[in-house]
Amino acid sequence: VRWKIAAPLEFETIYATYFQHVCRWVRAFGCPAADVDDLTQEVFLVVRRKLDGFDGRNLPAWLYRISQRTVSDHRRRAWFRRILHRTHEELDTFASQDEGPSQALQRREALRIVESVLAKMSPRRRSAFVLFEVEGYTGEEIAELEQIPLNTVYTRLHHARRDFVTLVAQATGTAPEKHR
Amino acid sequence: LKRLLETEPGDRGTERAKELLALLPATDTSAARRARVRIALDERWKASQRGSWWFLRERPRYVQAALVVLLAGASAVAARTELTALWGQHAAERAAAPTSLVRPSLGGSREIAPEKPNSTEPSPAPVSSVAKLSAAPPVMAPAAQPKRPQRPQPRVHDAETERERAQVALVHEAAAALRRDGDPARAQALLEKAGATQSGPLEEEAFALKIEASLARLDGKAPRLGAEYLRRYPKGRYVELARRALRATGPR
Repeated sequence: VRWKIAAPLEFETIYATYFQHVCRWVRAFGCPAADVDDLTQEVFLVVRRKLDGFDGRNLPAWLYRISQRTVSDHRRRAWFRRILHRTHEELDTFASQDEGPSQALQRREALRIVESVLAKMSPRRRSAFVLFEVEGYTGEEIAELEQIPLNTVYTRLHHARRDFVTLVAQATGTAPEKHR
Repeated sequence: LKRLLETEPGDRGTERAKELLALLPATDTSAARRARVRIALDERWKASQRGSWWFLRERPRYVQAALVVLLAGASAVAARTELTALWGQHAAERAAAPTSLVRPSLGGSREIAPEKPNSTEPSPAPVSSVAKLSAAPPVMAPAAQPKRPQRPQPRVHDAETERERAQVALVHEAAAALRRDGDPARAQALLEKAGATQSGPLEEEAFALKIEASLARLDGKAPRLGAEYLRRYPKGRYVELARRALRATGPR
């Protein structure tokens, strides 16, 4: 698997190797794009604090669990944060994409639909779906991270894909055809 | 398992889902983001390693400012407590003194706070005038007059409080001399000594006693005092007494 690193486990090596993965996992768990930096930082803070107590077995799964819990805590506190701070748009939203205003508006609207559809999916299916379809992970990698059988991953992906198509059809008004 | 975007073209719904999915970019894991997160992470790590008392070492000015604010707050609380105690004591004195002094003469039953009678001095005033005054109808009927709101309590220092206490005692003594001993001359002397018509917590009562003493002595000062009273206290409690003094004749 692409993220294996040799012992001894040092924070610097872990950070260099896993930064990109943690960013992706955090996003796959449903974290808003604007909070990915903060949550990645939070995950590595926990890693740095708990590294001495880590037994060294299956580092990616350990990091994956930490990311999962961190995002879960973040979501739990989100209602309180929403009261204190206004939601801020990501800077990427305003970045020039060499497109006209109407195209930019269409793209933003499409992205909003995708985000809302993903938010409606169950957490397990969503994380498997995003990791596989968007981030490019293989089924084996997801199985190792989740510590579940490969077939379970495929089952989740199958259901997630069906949910995604149905929810997109509902959101866009496209007539959904029955999936088997 | 193929990815959705790599599958063969399907129905309309699937194609629309594929279009939207293609818009979703992979997470940005650029070197810039990595460095940005790393800097913030190190800052937070340092902050978490500082311990509980790092603020004392690294921000002494803030600590000093906090101490100053705390001291100021404590001083304010202490001062307020002290003032409240003084205020309460003073208010109690004021509440006790005037009730015994200004009680109107209702049928001759004048209540005066216990006062040691000054039996050594003779009573120069004619008994008849005092008796006449005692028999006179009540002129200071508080029920007839609307109750005035209590005057605000003055904030006084200890010395001022002592002076006012002495004034109150003198006015008290003057009332006793006038009403109990029938000695208006002594009452006038005591009131002059007190200077209570100028200031003090019982200035209105002292003024009324002065008028009363003048009426008792028939020295002719009563009209002037009455006019002065009405000028100072147009709605005072002893307006009736002052009007009676205005009608009083000169010295006989």
